[in-house]
Amino acid sequence: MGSGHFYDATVRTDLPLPSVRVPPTPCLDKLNRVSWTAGVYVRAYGCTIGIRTTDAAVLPAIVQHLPTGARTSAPRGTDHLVSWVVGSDADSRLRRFHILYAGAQRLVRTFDPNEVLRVLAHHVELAVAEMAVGRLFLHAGVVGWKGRALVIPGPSHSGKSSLVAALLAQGATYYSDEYAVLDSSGQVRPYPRALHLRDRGELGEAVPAATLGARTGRTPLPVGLVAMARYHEGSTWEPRALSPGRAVMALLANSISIRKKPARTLATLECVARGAVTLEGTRGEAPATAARLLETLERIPEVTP
Amino acid sequence: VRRPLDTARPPLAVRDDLIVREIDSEVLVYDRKRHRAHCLGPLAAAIWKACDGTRAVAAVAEAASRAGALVDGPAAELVLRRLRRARLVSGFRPSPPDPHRRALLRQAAAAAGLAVFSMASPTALQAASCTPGGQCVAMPNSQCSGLPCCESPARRCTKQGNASRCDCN
Repeated sequence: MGSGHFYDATVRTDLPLPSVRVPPTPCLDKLNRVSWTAGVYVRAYGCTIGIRTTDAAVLPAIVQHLPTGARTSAPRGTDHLVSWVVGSDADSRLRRFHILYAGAQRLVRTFDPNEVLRVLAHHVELAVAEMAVGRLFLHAGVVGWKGRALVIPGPSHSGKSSLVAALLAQGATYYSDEYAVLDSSGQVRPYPRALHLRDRGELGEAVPAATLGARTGRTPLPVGLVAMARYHEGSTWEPRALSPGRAVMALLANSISIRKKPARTLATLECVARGAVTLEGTRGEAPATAARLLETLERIPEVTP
Repeated sequence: VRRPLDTARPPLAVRDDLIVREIDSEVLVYDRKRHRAHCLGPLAAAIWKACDGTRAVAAVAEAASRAGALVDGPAAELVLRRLRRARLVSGFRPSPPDPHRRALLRQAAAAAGLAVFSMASPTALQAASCTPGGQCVAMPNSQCSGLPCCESPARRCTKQGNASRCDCN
């Protein structure tokens, strides 16, 4: 692995090694005895994640895989620790696994360093979403339309990204295709990562919103409409409205931090449910649904907080 | 081992480890211990609030009616069964099912205000988009995420027969 063949970016490799502010456990003690040689501190949404490795050559690759809104920072106390025991090159005679840990829990063991990077990127993004300070992350697509946000919560493979892309094609402003980032007043902030569109169920290339000709939002927006829209071939969008209580329940099912911060999460979701109309139903093709959603959002009167 | 029968006591609303929020006429309850969320319809909420541990079922129905939710004894009992199943009341022991219960359930289903809607809150990983394939195969088979695999979302990270680890199937 020491060839540093991933990337050429320059990253400081002489920082003090990250550690975590939790009581040590036997498993973590054992992991701490590994010969760590370099580390990086990642800061996003008020939380800090330390990533340490046994080979400094992988640090540039780690930095290239940081999630939206994350940046490297000066050494500081960390909220979460990720450890990468770097394995050997595929062509070396003695093959050693790459092993990635979150705290003391093993996330992946593989010979493929790119697989480690994929898991690492996914894990760091999720950890940030769960630990963010003063922000609530919902698994949802978001676009802006005439000063208000349209939020489309839903599980993976429910067609969020394709609906977001269809909304952008009709002139909406891009906010996110993965997370609705809500502040304590229930306003949604941009999380403008590249769109992950799928082709016949397989994950395609990440596409920046600008490539689709869309503008990316910069300011927080109040939520006007929440659409729980599941794709079902041949369906038409004939939704039913949810009461505010049921709307909170529907949003809660897509909330990343409900178990960690239940009181704050419920308070924020209540703000959203009170200020927005929530619709639930199955939808057919994205362009037709997108047009109807934008029409609906325009008809909804603005709620004064 | 035969357990002694519980002594029926008047229903008491459980309050420990709960976060309670009122939204208009509905009540949201989050159980911090069991990580379950409940949404009580207006009538169910009125009945739950009336469960003070001293009132019998008929008195609970009466108290709820005084608070503006017009419910009779059988409807209150039906809601109390649901609240008991959601572990939001203690002490209440439902009477044996009677032949008219099916008809009663049908009536109650029509009245949305009696609804007690419950769900388990997701863990961060469950609420996430997908599980990377490499991470899936490292999970012990008792902890498979059940989510789509990131590289191929048509497949899910699930238990693989008797194998010790999960896989994208």
